[in-house]
Amino acid sequence: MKNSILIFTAFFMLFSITTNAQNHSPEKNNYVVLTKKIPQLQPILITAEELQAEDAHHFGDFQVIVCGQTVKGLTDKEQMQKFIQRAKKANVAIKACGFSLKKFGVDPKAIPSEMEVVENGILYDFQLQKKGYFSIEL
Amino acid sequence: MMKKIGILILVFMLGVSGFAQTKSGIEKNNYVVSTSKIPQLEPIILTAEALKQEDGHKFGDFQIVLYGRNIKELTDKEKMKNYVEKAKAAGVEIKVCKLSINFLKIDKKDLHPYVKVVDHAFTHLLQLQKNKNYYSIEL
Repeated sequence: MKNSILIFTAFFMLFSITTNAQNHSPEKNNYVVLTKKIPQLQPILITAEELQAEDAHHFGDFQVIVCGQTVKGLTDKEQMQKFIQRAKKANVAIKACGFSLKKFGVDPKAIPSEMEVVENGILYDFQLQKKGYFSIEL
Repeated sequence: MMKKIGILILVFMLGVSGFAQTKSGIEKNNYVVSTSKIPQLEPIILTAEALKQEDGHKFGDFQIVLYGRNIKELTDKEKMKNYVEKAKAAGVEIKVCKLSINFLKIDKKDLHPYVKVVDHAFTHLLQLQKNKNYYSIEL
């Protein structure tokens, strides 16, 4: 009897510890970077590549949100193509902030078609953080 | 035997209450956005409105921390009144860094009364993240 109680208690404690651990460390590492400067895409993509190597199968999702005046530069197809190609290889999604496009008069059709437009970059970033994404703003 | 079962129940209850405590600590979603540009207040407040709707009763606190050399417009009564009204309606607090207003030689009295001064923007940001689990964005 004594033993069975001990075993039950141990089992229960182990169980509660694992549930706790699960809450704090999701299986995959997800990342979001919000940037206000297109040239930052290069170091951001390098970071993604390195994290992918480091995390291996724990590497989840990596997203970049481009916000602010810099969105005017998204129409420079040649410059953007370099980043888009590299991002594709590294499984990085580059998104544009819709508010910024509107504010700085950039036609969403004039930016690379691979880029998704999110309505509000700040809101989108917070929504990802709520899902457990690690976040940096540059 | 009874004693042992009693202890077991006690352990079980402790476990449950411990779990409940961790849960209540993260019940609300709190947010802070720092920016060095006054016009950013507009999209930030829109963000707060959207999150308030999304979170419902889980929406906690939303703060904006202003800092830097480009916040002179803080003394523009007309403009600030407009922002403050929107912020109030969305449940957003507006804070400003003391170092920055000192640098700009802005008198505290010239600030809108809704705008509160914090000693140091970055310290404030880190404290919110450290002590209260705020989600944060530095614009």
